[in-house]
Amino acid sequence: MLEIKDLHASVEGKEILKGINLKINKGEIHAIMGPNGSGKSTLANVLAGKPEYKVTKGTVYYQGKNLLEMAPEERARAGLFLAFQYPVEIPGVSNTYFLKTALNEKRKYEGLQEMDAAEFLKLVKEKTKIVEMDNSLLHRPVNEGFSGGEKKRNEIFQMAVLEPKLGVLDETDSGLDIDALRIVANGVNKISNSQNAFMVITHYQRLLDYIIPDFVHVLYKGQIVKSGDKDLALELEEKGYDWLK
Amino acid sequence: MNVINNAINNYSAEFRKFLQSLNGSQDPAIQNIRNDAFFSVQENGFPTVKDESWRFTDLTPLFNQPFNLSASKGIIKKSDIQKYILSDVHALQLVFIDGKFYKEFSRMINPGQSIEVKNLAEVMRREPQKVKTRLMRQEDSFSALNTAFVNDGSYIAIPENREIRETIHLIFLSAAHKNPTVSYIRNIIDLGRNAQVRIVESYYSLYNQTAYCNTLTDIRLGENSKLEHIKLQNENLNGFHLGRLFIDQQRDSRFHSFSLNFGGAWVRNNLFAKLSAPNCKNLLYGLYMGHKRQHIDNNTVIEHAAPRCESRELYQGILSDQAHGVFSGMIYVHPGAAKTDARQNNNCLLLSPKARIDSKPQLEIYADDVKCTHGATVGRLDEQQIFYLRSRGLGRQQAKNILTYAYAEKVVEKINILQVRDLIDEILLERLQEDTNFRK
Repeated sequence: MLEIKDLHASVEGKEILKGINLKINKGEIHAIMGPNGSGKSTLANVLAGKPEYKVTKGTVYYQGKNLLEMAPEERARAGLFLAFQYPVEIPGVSNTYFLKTALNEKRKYEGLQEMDAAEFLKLVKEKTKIVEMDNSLLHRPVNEGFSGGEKKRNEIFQMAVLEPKLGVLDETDSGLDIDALRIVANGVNKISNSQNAFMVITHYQRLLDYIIPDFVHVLYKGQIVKSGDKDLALELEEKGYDWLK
Repeated sequence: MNVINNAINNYSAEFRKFLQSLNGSQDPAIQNIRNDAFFSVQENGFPTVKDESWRFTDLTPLFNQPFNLSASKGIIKKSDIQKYILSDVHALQLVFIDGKFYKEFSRMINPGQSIEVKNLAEVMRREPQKVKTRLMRQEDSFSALNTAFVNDGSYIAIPENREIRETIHLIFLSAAHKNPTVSYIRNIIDLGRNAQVRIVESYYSLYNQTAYCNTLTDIRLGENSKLEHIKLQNENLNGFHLGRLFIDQQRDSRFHSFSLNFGGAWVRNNLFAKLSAPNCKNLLYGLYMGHKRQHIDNNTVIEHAAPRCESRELYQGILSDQAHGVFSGMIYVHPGAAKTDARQNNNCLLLSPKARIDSKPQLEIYADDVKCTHGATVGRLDEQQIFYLRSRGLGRQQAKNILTYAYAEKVVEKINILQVRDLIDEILLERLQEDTNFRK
């Protein structure tokens, strides 16, 4: 599904990623942990194609295609989804209009017919249940005036509608209380299946109580310094990151 | 100076021709008002870019082009004007072509009612005493010209305690002629105590010919009356448009106004609102969208002349290519206008490096205990928002267009007349499609 080799990337001239190697197969959930400033969010943004992040070396292949040559929208249409750490507010654009347009772009890319309003509404109703999202949020402008928790739920809701092949969750747990965390994590678990994969970026272990990863990687100073299974996360929780330095 | 002298000479010749065409058929008092107004034009001349309120708008293009009053009534079919009519079948509508009233395309109110929705020429002919004093506008030379050449337009009078549910739609079209034509339009709108109405003025060109429209609307709002007024200007890109809007508000009245400008090569709008008595509410919204080489200048003056009035002003611009926008907004608080609450905002979105906005807010406050704020922003589309939309599969141009549309909607969504809102959406989408091949 995803193969990252010797990936170096910088932002504003400062090198953040210094040789990442990582392979994700379908059906797998990978957790990326690490202290602040280790490059976790940079990795997520590079994968999504954020323009200010420059790849200086290395390759990323996604479903056999050179991901780094694809525009952000092409990546999205090909099934890569980034759940933002800080979802952006877009006043004046309603959540449903936005999501319908996004879904239809993806369907066009897949050679499917565009979905009409009635079909879309039915789909959306179903999907709001996954993240226990209030229907009233659908008609509001994207993320505008949403609470922190609502924004994160909205990200997972969008993910549920767009059904990505690879979901990248960038610190989706940050700023969530325990109930919201549980709801968001359950949402991810409902979407997860043998045909898709997830990269879950988190600072804390607690999210991984709900989303059980197959692999845990520790990112430190732009490199993966240790990989293991879910027990590694517990060890990190207990000992902190200092012992890895 | 030569340009202005030439302009005055041209106007003099036109004025003589105009008087001949009237052939002494008019009320002598009205004739005096015209002569007097023209005399003031000759006396005062015209401003130049050295005048503060014309610093960013050069009048030379307007004066360099000779415009004539259209001599003939063009042959226009009903189908030619169909697309400019509101989809609201209940709306009353008055249609003017080149400044002349076309009864056959209009939908009037049943006669014999106390409500008057008429064309001005008829009122000037049959009941000149009704409008005489209202015609004497000569605040500046363009208003004076409008008075000198006054011949038609609309007269709307809503008596006390009447609420008109039907939207009144005034449609002003310019037709095709061999030479560039000018039309002078005068609208007089009076609302009695507790009266309520919604009025839409729209300005279009039927063809691509150059035309110049000088229009003046004079509004008086009686006590506790309510008016929603929309001025939509979507003339062709060769058009010259000079608009004047005067509003006088009495106690507890409410004026809700939209100035929407999409068309014209050279556009200047002046709005003067006077809140003459306590407790008035004045809401001014503006949206201007310029592309290619359009020049769109909006100048507003709100005078708080009485205590406890509230004014809110939001003008938003969207400029691309080499379009040039100007916004000047003055809030003037007279001595004694205590508890004034005034807010003004002008925001402009620049979609190309060569688009330009000159924005000039002004506050002059001569009273204590007032709340007045103003703000202006000029910006480009937010790259974070563009990326967010792209990360969900929307193309870059599509993302930009959706954000541009949403920017305009901040004003459009405030319009209470559904058919007008739909119409504006249509114009917006048409423009985005023309510029970028966008389909919502």
